[in-house]
Amino acid sequence: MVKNSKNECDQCPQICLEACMVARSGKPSVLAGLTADAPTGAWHCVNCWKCIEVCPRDIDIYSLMMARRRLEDMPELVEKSVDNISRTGCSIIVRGLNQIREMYGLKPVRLIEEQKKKILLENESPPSGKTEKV
Amino acid sequence: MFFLRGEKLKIIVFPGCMVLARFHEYEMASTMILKQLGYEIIELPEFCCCGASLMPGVTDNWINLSAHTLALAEKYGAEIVTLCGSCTGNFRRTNHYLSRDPEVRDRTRSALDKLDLSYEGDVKVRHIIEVLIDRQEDIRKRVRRHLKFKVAVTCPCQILRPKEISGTITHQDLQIMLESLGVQTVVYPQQYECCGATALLFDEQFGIDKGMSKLESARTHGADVFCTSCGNCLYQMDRYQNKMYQNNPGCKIPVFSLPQLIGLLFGYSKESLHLEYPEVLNFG
Ligand code: SF4
Ligand code: SF4
Repeated sequence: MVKNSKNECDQCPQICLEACMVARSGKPSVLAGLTADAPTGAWHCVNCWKCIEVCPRDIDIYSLMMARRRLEDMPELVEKSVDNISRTGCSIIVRGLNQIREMYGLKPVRLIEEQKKKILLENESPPSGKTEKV
Repeated sequence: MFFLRGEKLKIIVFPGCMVLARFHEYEMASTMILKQLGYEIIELPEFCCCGASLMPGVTDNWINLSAHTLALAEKYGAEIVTLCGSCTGNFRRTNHYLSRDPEVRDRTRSALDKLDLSYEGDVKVRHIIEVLIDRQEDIRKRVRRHLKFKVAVTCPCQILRPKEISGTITHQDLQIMLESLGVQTVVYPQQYECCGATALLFDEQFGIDKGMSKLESARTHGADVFCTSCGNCLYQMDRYQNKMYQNNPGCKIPVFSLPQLIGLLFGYSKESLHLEYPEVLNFG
């Protein structure tokens, strides 16, 4: 979120951690690393954005956690989705998709052309090793 | 209000990767209901992920993927109707960034330029729940059937949060609408909790536990059917029930998407909606 970058997390009573289902379950949450010098699971997040909703300081938690994600290894399944997108433009690959769609009375789909997808994904120097794949 | 100068409102129904790959019955019911409400559905010439599997945690270029679809929508003069919470959030985040950050705008513009596309940033993006809530008066006129079962409803997190990019509905609006259409709904403690589907990517058991605890909360508070309208939620709440209830298959609960539920209200047969739960669908 493009927000007032002057806002600083003052580790208020850590309301974000209370709102986070991952943190509440005792697992390392990405928030733990943002609000204190604690171990972090940058990818341990369900994208529910409850943390953002409750933060009284309007901290740009989204950008902070995304930056963290670049520093830690992606979970295997995320890596798989990323790989699928870079190959086909869709994060899930289904063989015979259009035949199945036809059985449901749905129009066939065409996935984005290889060349176009390349252009959309290659247009920057990647900020971390993580992005080399795409 | 909805139809300008007698023209139908054009929409692109964007299923997202998960619904495209796995929830054909949801996509089908969505197009049926939207057509019946008078929308003209424009087919996307080519499908590309909205970028939700990437996000800035993987690459800054995630935004080009969603901008590509938004640019196509703009070219065809269509709004986007999403079937998944993640896609909704991502498209709206794209609009938000493009309208505020000149650097992002320039980068995206140069990528789209190479594909002979451009995007001004004004395509409206709504989730199907929001569309159906907006059209509830028209839906009410078409209700032909009374449903005897009780429904637990939920909304995808990302159509509600964060507030800078979310729409106008609240969590309660869906339930209020369904009640007003004669559907019996239940109140359950975990109604506003996230289903935890994304956790399946990093800790499957944790994800399963979260989903199951939400389903159990609904079931033990009287729900016969669970209703959700998001690829990720459906994957978790429907497809994972085999794992959740492997020792207790009798506790499984049917999961319908909102368009399928509305389809039943309209009088469509369970076969045409691809619903396979004879017990609760015994209309007599
Ligand atoms: S991010 Fe916000 S809610 Fe979390 S500890 Fe900091 S100020 Fe508090
Ligand atoms: S968005 Fe992620 S970090 Fe924030 S509350 Fe949800 S799970 Fe926790």
